[in-house]
Amino acid sequence: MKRLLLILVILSVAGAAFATATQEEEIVIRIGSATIGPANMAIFEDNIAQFEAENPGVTVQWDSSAGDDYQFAGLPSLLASDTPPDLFFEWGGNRVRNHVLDGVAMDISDLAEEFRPVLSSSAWAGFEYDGGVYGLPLNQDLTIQMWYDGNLFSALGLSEPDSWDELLSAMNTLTGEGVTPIVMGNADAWVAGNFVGLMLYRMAGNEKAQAIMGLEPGYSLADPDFVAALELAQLMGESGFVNADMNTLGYPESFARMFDGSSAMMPLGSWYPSEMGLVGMEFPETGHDFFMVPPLPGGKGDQTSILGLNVGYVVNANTEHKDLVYDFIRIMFSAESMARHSAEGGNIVSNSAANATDSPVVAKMVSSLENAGSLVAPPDTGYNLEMAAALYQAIAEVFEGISEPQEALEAAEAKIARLRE
Amino acid sequence: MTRRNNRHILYVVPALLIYGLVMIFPIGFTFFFSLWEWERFTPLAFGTLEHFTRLGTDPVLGRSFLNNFLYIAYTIVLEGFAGLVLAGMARRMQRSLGFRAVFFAPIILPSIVIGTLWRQIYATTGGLLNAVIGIVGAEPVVWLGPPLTMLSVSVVSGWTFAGYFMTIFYASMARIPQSIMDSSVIDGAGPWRTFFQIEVPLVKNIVVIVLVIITTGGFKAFDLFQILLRRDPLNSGIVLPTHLIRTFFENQDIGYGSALSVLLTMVVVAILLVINTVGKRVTGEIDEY
Repeated sequence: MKRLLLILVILSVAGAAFATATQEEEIVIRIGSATIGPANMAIFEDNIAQFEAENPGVTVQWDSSAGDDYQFAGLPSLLASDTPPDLFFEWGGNRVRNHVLDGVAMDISDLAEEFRPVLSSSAWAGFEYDGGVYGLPLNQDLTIQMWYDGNLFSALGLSEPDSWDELLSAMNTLTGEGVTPIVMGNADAWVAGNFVGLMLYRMAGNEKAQAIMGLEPGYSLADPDFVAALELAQLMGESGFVNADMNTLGYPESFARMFDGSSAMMPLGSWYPSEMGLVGMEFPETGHDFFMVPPLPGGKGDQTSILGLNVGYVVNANTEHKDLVYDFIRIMFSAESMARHSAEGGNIVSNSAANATDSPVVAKMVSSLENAGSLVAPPDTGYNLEMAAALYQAIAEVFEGISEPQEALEAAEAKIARLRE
Repeated sequence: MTRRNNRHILYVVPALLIYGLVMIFPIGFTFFFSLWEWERFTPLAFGTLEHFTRLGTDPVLGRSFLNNFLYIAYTIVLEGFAGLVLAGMARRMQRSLGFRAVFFAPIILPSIVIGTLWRQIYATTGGLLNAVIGIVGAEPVVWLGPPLTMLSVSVVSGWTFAGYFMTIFYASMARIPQSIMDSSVIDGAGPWRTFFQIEVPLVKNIVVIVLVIITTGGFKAFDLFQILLRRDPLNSGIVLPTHLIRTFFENQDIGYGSALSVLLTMVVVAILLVINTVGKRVTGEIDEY
């Protein structure tokens, strides 16, 4: 019996020692990310395989959650956990700034210098703060373009509208044919919020819109120009130009409407082609294309402005594996990977030389970006989130016909008035 | 003798310590947080009551309260009353195992499965409900939008939990002596009268317990709302937990979020005290099973 006990003790001690040794040897690099389209994820998986092959004993763990969940709960939970990500995806702008203030974002100015010669100078906006660089931009996202079903347009004799009146005319034609002109999966609030967000800039002008949404004292969300922008949304809602269930329809579910012939257009960003995996299709075979939102009637701002932002990856200031994370970034951001993200994922990458300009849709997006008079930030990533939530509710209510534009914006302003103080 | 009596206290000390650690301490700490001014996650200054005064002017809070009470009212009917009726039906069956299993089954499903399933049922295009009403020529209905939002979520809650409460009521009713049931039959009471005037009064204590569970559950409801309504841009289905979580996580407003938590705790405790007091009066004069 004593001998048996002795053997058990020895085995336990040996087991514990082995487990400790194994734990010490194994290094895990954790990456937090919003869900990425299948085409882009395949590239990251190749990056991981290459990195793990080059660094025996190091594994990469990729934690992802759906965009909205990641933005509001996923990333905060990961950062607060015992196993926070060493590297995490972020939308450039206010969110990165908050990470800097919280001491979560590492100043990677040293690494940034390696990439400055190859990344577009405009790509760094939203990742630079107070003289430091707090993230590396991977893509330059256009957040709102009007994607449309080219086959349906052709069948109805429609072409890309150049003016707001032409857009209204096209929508009237579509409605007459029993097609919902615009589908929005706005259950997560940001699709309509981004769409009308661009209209706010165009109507009020960039400087004024930034002051209003930037919570500067003396301004109000119920500004007459914002009201005018929401009146256009109201007209679209009343005329049946948008799907009646837009505020309950989920983002992924909305894509199906672009393929069952029930809807013709969707306001969404430059990641639309990479999302085609959601409906089991490759973008080129869809017959879909895009045009930029036409100039608004009575708009006082830059009518060629584009809603967009840079997105990329932030290194956790508390990581214990800075050198390994840097090595992984070098693979992730290599010219070859960038070129694949553009060619296979349809993205505009921050390394402009790597953009797949032989792809018609990428070439068109790059051209749109180059021709834009200004690039303006979406309300939910460029500004205070509480303000964005109040504004998005006003937009949702106006589309739904629950509130008048003036009333909805006054209610939104009332919610955030204390922040403006 | 006194020393021996005091020794009893020692037996409850571990439980009290654990309870204090996991319940009292976090509540106290949350209250402490609510008295601080915060800049996101950084405490700035102690001694403000600003977060509590803000409670009175928060328009979303009013909507959240209203929706929460509406949800509790609906679920008392769709979970509690339905569970009671199902238990009565099961009692009158020769073999009720299959019947009970069918209604109990939803409770074993994870919320994400239930939410996703019902999002499909409620879908405006291609959803089961709209397909059914479409047969009689009705226009598609936006089930998850106003004014149906709260009712639609409550129906899912009822579908999930009615079987659970049925099981609780069934177990209690099974303890009612057969002699009482036989007497009611001899006295000429029909099934409905027996159920509502004999069986239900005899399980009043369980009814009170179920009310407590539904009420406290109503103030904790979050998962179904989140899955079914997503961000709910119209706030038509916002409830206190949703408002609380958005305040904490999205707005990163720790001070106000803590004040909301304190308010929520106080409201739940107050409601439970009322239910308990009324429940004692109602159930105090009768044999219960």
